[in-house]
Amino acid sequence: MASDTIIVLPGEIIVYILEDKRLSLADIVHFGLTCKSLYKIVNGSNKLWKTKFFKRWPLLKEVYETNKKLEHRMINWKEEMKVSVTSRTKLLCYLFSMSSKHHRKQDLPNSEFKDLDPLFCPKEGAHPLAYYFLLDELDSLIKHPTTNLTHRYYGLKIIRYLKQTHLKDEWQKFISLPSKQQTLERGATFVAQWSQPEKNVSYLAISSILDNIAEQTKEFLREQYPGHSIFSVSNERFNFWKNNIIDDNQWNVTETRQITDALCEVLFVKLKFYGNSKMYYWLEKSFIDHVLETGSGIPITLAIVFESVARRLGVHCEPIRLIIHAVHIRNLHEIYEFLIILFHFIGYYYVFYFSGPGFKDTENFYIDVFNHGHFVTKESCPRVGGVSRCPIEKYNVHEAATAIEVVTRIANNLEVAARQHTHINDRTARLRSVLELRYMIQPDANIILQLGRIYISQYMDLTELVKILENMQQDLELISRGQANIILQTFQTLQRCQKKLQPEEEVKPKRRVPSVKYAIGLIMTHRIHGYFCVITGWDPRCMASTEWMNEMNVDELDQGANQPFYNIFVDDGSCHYVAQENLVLSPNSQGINHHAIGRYFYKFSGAHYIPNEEKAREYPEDERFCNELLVTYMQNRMAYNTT
Amino acid sequence: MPNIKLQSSDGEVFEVDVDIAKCSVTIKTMLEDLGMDEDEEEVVPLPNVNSAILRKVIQWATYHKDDPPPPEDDENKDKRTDDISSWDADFLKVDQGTLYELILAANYLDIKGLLEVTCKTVANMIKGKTPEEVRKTFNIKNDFSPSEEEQVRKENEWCEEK
Repeated sequence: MASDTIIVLPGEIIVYILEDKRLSLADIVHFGLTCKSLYKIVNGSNKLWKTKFFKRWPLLKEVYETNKKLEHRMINWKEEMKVSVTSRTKLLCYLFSMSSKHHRKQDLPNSEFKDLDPLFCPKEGAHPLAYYFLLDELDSLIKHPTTNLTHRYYGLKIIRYLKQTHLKDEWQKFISLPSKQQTLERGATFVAQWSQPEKNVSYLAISSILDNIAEQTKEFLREQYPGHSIFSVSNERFNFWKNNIIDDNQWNVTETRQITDALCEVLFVKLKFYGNSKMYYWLEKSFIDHVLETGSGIPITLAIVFESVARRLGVHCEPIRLIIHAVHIRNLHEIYEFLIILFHFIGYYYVFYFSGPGFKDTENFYIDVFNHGHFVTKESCPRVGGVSRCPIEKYNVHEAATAIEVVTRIANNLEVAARQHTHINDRTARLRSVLELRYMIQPDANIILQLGRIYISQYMDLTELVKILENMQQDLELISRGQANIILQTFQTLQRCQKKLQPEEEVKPKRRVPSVKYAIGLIMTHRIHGYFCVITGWDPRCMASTEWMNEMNVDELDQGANQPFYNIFVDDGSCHYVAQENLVLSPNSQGINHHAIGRYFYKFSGAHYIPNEEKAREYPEDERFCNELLVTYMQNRMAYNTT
Repeated sequence: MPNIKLQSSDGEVFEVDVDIAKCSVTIKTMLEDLGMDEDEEEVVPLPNVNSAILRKVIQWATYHKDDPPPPEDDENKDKRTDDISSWDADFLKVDQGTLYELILAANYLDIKGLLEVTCKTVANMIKGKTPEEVRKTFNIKNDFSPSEEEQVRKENEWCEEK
């Protein structure tokens, strides 16, 4: 019977069948390869491919909906799918090869990732959205709970590179916008995105939280002053204020005060935003997404929130920086206390300008965002003990900071925070990231010098920095050319030394000796300090320099330097070199919280770490030894528990 | 409960509860548009469905008469359940010809639930198969010449990942 074959079904029903979410890409392609008419149906339905595309990568929906570049493009969804699949495949191929190439390097300079550029940079011929394809792939890879730790470790490095490369382009676009469109919240979003590559920070999300605060303020205002002229304003105007810095206040003095009072009430009372002076140098407090999520920030980020919402309500604010000088510090405790007060004052205040007839003599209001939005005037200005100068003495003369200046300021804060950061985990990488951010904002030879220090401490290749400095030389307008030249020469010398220092040949595999009691991947505690750690390497005897041994008082140990020493990753993110007598075997199921764990291990067994291929090649006999040791340990513990 | 009469393409007349018949959007609109009075002894002709298939359709609709209505919009398509109930699975143990005729009937009568479950059954038969296996399963004649086949296979090679 002719109706026995599926061809009797009309094309749209076949497409409907194939749209079933359980059918994979390969399933529908295979189905289409069976005969000419089905081939035509499968390949002729743009809708089918579109359905498959978003079923497979649902997070890309937002990208397609919001990307302006696509508005006038007819999308061939099969082609789109092909580009997405092939670029992802190439990316994974690259990622999986990274460990064998880079396992001996502490960190990788951006130049190491150049091979990825053709995969995602439109300038190099990549699809306009390839960047999002790759991010989507890496995002699901690192979020997957069973992902190989080594792949996750390098995946995060690629994410950082992709995002920061992308942001560099976006930053150039931002600074070439008309200055009226350079809003503070956009600028602050750059910093948050740059500094937290592992997090998905979107401007749209940030902007909609700010919209929401503005709406709540309007609601509050409606209850208090239902006749306020803000309620006769059109949506277009609100929209304009949202995206453009406005020249002047849209309201008279009374109505402005009503709005700012309502805003302070909503922001500082209802939503409980507050200045967190104790955490001044917590990196997160400089990130606008974090401030909006938690409600706590430092003056500058709170000021950005305040300005962004006030602008949405037609109130013109300008960020101003006020400084108090001269202090005498006697002891540490006072330094700490003083820091809080000091930064309180260097905080960003706001000023309103009331211009137009009748306002000429009006004093500007300063709002102390760090202090629940209190209004500060010349008379009410708080004073620091012993310092009688009012920070707003010269009111009405401060120049408002631009978005770029504000971003520069946040980046500078971040650098100080990164240097003082008490969390050791990934500290160098953070500092590097901050310096690279500063370099993006203000290309300056000094920053390159500081970056160079990090590169050298991480044994990273200096070629990239040398190239930047060489280009700077050509820039005749640069005043600091002489300085750049000196740095360049230093780097070139160091580069030659680096080449000598880094032998290219593979390390010789380490054979076990009886005195070494522990093995790679075991979780230990420190007998004196009590921290948890994992073993990442060992030497049969202490191999550190004499200076190091003297400094660490190695000869005060029971067995001195003549005992096995271990390289360890500690739970707080630090790395140490410790004597065998100070380590106690203590397998636990929590694992070790250390950013570089994936560099040496691919999996956590629930009691110890399993070395990746590269580490296993270096210590070929350790895995067996480790397993035997753990079995004995468990048996002993069970025997101990039963008696 | 009032009944209506449905006539298949081969002339057989089925008397069905109106509420059951109305699970077909086509019949429902027909009744509404024509202003057919439920008391009238009129017969609804269904020229695209033969008696064997109509009987099965009525059987399916009777069993599912109390199901909640399926979601309307496209967005909710993702939320539809993956699995086929055991009653439906038994009901659909038929030869492929009948399955396709059921699909066509469900499509013509606009019965969303039946269309979904029959199409899902076909999708299950496609899943995880090579082109050659699909041909065998569905009795499809390969009309590509060897060189054409090689060419289209090459063009689509990118889909064979991992």
